[in-house]
Amino acid sequence: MNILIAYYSRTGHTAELAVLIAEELTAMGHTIDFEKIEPVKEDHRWPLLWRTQWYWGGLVIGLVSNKYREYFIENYKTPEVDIKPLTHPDVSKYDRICIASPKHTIVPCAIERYLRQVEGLKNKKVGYFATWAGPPLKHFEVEHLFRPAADRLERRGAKLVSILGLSSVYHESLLSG
Amino acid sequence: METLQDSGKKEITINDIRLEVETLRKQRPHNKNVFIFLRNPIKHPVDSVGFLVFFSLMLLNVVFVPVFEIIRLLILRPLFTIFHTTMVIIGALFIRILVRRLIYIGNKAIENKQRGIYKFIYKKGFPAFLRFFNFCFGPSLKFYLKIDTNDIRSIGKYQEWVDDTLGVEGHWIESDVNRAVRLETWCPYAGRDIPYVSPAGQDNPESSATGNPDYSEFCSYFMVDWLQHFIESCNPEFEVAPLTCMIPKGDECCEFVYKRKKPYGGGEK
Repeated sequence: MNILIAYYSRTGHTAELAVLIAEELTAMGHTIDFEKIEPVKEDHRWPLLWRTQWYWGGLVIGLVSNKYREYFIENYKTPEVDIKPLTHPDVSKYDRICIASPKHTIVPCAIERYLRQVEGLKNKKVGYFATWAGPPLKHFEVEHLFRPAADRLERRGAKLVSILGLSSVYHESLLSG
Repeated sequence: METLQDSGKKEITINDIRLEVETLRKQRPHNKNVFIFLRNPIKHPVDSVGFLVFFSLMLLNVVFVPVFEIIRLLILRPLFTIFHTTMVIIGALFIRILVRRLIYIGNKAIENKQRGIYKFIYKKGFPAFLRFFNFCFGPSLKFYLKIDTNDIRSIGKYQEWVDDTLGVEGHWIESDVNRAVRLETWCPYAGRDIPYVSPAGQDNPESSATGNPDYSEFCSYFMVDWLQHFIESCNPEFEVAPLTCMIPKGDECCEFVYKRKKPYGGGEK
């Protein structure tokens, strides 16, 4: 199977995971191509968090009200950043697409742009894997990354079929959060 | 026809990524987890400033954003919705009564070769009127129709609304990040519901000058201009292409092509 792994990595953790997954897939006999998603200007980590400032306040009401959290996840408009020209701007020749990114509290701004910019996603099955520093809390970590990503993909005619999250702090009991 | 082509950027192999990972691994401090900076003193000046600015603002946001959100959702949003809905209803009546009447008078003017009225309606009054309409009702329509200004298909909802109001039937056949195409299959003007006279038959110098003597002046000139004006107010990255297929020309439908001026991913050939 012809697979594209499109990854965005700031500190190398996601790239490491991308390598591991690519090795595994190659061993299974699949052909892998890579797409490195690079912002035109890579921010220092503080302005990166500043962009998502509205999220932090929204999060507080989300703790109190499930209804608001649903509303917030559906309506929060993730900011975007410009990305460098893509090696594979049209992904229609691939059977499967894997998107990999860190979690910048929400979908990273570069991935948000990539999902809007890339062509040929229609009727594709997409996998999304992500790395982040923090516990894999059900709502605030997993839901705020993969649900908006699935939503973006659905708008482009693709389907998110599989997710994988690699957290630096993991414990089963935290999943209930 | 827009086609996508690879950008010619060098292919990345797995070894390139391994190399990149190794380089980043050397740069990376040996943090056990994200909370390490709370225990260790901050050494880098950018980090200390960033830490202070970010966390103080974050605390402010945690207090004030919920207040803003509650005011916005419970008070402002319902008020705005009532206001915009009223504006859209007024706009629809405005179009239904005034625009149809103006087109009727304009067509009659061409038919009777009343040059003064023709010039007034087609050269001065009408474009200004349509632009004034966008100025008055555009923001409300954007809100009411839930138009996402980054999505070309979503901006096209405006034309759907105009078509519904004027009595034109149509559907979308294509929608993309760069392009959206709408076909209009039945039109009251071309269908003679409202009298329509092709300017070509009237020996009209304005139409002859454009080189498209068979085109309806209303759609090829005003409708495109009207949509273009609205699109520019939404997002200047998009435009409407000049009409190529039109019912008055003998085609089965009118084709409106919305497109991005500078398409993503390779561009136009």
